[in-house]
Amino acid sequence: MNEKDILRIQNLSVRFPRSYGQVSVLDNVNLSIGSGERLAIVGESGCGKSILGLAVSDLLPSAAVSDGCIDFLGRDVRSMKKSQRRGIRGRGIGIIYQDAMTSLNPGMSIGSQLSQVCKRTGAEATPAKLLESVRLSDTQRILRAKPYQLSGGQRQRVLIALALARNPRLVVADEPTTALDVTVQAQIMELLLNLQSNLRFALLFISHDLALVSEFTQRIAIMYAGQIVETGPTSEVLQDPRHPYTAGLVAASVSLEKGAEELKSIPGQVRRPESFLEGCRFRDRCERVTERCSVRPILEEHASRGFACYHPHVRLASSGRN
Amino acid sequence: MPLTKDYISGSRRTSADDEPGVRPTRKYQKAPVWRFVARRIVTAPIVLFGVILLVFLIVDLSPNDPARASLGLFASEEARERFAAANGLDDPVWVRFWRFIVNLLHLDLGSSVVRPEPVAHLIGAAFPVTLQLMLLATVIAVFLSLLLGVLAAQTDGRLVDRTIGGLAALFQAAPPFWVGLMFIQLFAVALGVLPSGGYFPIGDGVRYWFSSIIGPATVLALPFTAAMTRIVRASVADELAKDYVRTAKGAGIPWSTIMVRNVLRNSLISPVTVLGLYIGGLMSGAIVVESVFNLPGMGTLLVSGADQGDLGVVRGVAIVSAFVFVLVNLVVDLFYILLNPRAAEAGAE
Repeated sequence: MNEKDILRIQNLSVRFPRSYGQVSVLDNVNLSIGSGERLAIVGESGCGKSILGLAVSDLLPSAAVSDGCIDFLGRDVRSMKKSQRRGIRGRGIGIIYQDAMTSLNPGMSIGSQLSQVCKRTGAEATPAKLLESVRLSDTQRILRAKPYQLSGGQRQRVLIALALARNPRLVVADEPTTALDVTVQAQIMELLLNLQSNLRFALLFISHDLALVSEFTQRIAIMYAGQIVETGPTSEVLQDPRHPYTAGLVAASVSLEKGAEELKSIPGQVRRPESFLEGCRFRDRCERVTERCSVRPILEEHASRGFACYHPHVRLASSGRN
Repeated sequence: MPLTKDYISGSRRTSADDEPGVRPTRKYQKAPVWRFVARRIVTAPIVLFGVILLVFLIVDLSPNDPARASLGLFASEEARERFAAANGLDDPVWVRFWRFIVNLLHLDLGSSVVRPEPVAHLIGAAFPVTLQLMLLATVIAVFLSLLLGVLAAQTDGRLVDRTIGGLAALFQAAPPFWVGLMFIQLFAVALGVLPSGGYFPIGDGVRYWFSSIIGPATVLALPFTAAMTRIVRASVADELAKDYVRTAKGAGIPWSTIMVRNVLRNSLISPVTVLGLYIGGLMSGAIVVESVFNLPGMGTLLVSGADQGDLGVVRGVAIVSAFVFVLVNLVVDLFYILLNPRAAEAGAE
């Protein structure tokens, strides 16, 4: 952690007492993101990535109980007053959602939805300018349109415009391209990256697509069952994964890309939160499991890399895998 | 066709995706809302005609004899026949129906066989009372149900929500004549703040008018408010759980703006539908409430007309009520389109 960090998450835990009792859906998450940095959160579905995104944006559902500290620009968001917290939403932290169709108000024109954000402090742009900034032409028509009258890619661009309207310092992008087909996906990612380098916001990119992540982010955090199991520079982590889970993810996507005869996969699936294991939550799917694993391994960081495992993979020769 | 359907259900993948110039939803360019409106306006008179025919026939089939009602039970057979001939009572049904329709178009609802005034005058005097009663009841119901429904939805599952839900169930189930009597007992007898019945025209002073009408209007509004509160609560709660609310919240938009400008507008669709249905029901509720509070409205007129075998009055009240009902539903439908243009587009396909 250094002085340039704009967001520091310390020991963040989130529980849903009504649905899952005392199980932490996010368990002691420690994470920081520097100004202008692009950080990826990667994991399977059900690993708590989106909950982390919502927690960072202060948008957890009211049923959630959270613990720990979310430090944004040097102040703990969780101990702020309601009005101050609202000041951070949108202005300090913008969020881009996965499903643009449901994330836009179906009964309101795009123009009205943008302008109610533009009226807030911190927004300098007009709705039309916002649309231009996300490369939507034909702005007059789109401003008048309702969300259902736009294509998926257009809607996603509108959502990006909405998130960036008030020049946030941090943008949380929660799988912004999963709902789109591959060509549109590439366009949206390119747009996002362009905007990021122009506006210099930090980007918390939540995804399960390792290819996208390796192309677009500098640092990565791998999540499994609500815990961060490995962190480090994206290229290093993906080249040389230490945690068996990371290794499994990488092997699966590499075998996919190379068109290997047999698709490698991690056996089993993520448990439902109510049956998360004590200790290392990955141990029931791990081939390296031993008795030690029933005590939770702590994420230890050595020179920018960190992993939470007693039996990490050691450095493999770069050609040795597969 | 399949293309349209896709877009309604919000399908995401289209080949022409993301080319800004391309408009995949060509069908929606010329929203055929006016076609829907026109159809509603054309069908309304047809419905009305059907109602008039039905009312005419049912009243005609009733064993009541206008001649007897007018001349009294002990009138001679001769006098009865003279009356029948003078009023065309023995003409075939279709002739009488034709005469009735022609008169109706001249706004002539026939004459009362019991009272000296023509039916149109009787209704002209009674209708404003009922209209005021219904309007005031609607205003009370809409205002209260929005307030309570939104409050209940926001406090989802907590004490406030459960209290409102319980009260709503209670008042929806309670019979209006009983609620009316209890109301009189409380406000007129025990507290003495409102009159126990009767009506003062607004010309007699706004205060008198208001205190004579607020009681019956409240009683009439109670079951209506209860039903509407439950529907508003359900539909606001549904809407609050939607992703776009989170989007708005995440953009830093204040809660009041989210509630009023975003959520409420979208969640009004089912309450407005129910409102349309219930306003019709208010007519029949008004009959009971007017009797309890002794208001000289349509309900009282209808009841006395039926009691005295005054078929002209019964017909007149039924037809004017049907007219109001159809009109209200037309307005509600048009309002509905305003709220949800997609329904109209789908309806016009």
